[in-house]
Amino acid sequence: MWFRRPAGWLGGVITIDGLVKRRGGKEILAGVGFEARPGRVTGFLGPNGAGKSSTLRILLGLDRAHSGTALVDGVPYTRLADPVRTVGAVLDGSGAHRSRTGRAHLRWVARSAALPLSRVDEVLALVGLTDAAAKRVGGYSLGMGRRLALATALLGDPSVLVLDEPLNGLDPEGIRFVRTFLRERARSGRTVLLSSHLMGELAETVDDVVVIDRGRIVASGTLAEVTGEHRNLEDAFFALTSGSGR
Amino acid sequence: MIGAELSKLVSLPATWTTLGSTLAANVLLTFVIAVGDTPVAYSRAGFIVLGVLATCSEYTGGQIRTTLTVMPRRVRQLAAKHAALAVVTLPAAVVVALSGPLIVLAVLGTPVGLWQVAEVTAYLTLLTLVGAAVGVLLRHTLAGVGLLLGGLFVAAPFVHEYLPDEMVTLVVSTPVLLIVAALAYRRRDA
Repeated sequence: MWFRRPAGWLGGVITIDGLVKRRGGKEILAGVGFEARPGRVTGFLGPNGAGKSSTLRILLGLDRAHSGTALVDGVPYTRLADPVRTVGAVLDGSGAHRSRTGRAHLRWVARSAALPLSRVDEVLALVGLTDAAAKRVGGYSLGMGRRLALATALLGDPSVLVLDEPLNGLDPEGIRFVRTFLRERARSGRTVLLSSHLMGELAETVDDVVVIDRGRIVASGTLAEVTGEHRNLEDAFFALTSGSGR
Repeated sequence: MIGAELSKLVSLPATWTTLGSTLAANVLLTFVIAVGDTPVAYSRAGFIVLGVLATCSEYTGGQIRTTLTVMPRRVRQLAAKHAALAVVTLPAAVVVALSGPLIVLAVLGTPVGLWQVAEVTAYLTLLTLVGAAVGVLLRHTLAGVGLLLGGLFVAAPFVHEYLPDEMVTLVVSTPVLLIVAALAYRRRDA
């Protein structure tokens, strides 16, 4: 085995508390806080511009919050001992330079964490990109770019996956693949946190739901708790976020 | 981390296009100028482009987000990138610095000044690092290249008499720019 970890619990608790972020005098996040736990898929839902990406970017150490904390197993992302083996991130786009090949992209990421280069072919096969590995990323379709981003996130077989709108740009087959895949990750005791503005797509995939609207958390709990009296998650979502100008 | 940054640099086709065309231009200019005086005055443009490209290429395709999520300690990551860039640049600078004098030696029989070759090599390498630092600050390849080439070919001749020797200026300004770039890089939202 190329990875060494104590048997049993993998860790991977995400704790976000009191995040405030202002941009251009506007408050994008007004005290966002929630938790995502191992063994569960947590859906982070909200309309476009509600603050989902900003929250995830702060969690991943890409942006700075004005106040509040975002921790993985009690540690801020930028101080993780081994980020690639702890958290895999899928943000918008491929995250790769267009003139590199898919394989070259995965190779530099593998080198950054001293992972064996054999992992590159393993994740390429896992997301079904083996045939396109020698092609430049600029020639990839939107869906292939998303698969490459997922492959990158999986290189270190991390205990946490953070995905921003992972279903965007995928064909029905791709959507099915990602959903099944994320369920399996959670079943193996890992933490999955994904954001989405598509409610219908998510109801069958998530265990826990956090709803954000205009920079504030308006509901969080298990899928059943958040759905409550409503017919389904979608209805609950619109009731919770009504008046947000949609 | 240096391994990862080296891997990035060498797998970028633009790195090789820039280095190849710089060397070719340098050889060609040596013949054209014939006196073999200062083809490096023009070839240094290629090294500036290389430096700016090394850091600005992060901002294509959202690669910067991948870089910073897999190597979140930003100052260390940037230092590794600059080290990798120096590793790639040094041999290329030696080749370019040698090519002019070697051709002159072959054609005119003038001996190669080793001290001069060393000085040109250091000059080109430092200039590449300046390009990288400016690239970090501007995050835009064309803007970075435009600013530096404009400064070097248009503005520098005017302020030349007020500055110390060009090499001295470069030795002082390179570390300053690298530190300023690292501070900005550490603070800002990716």
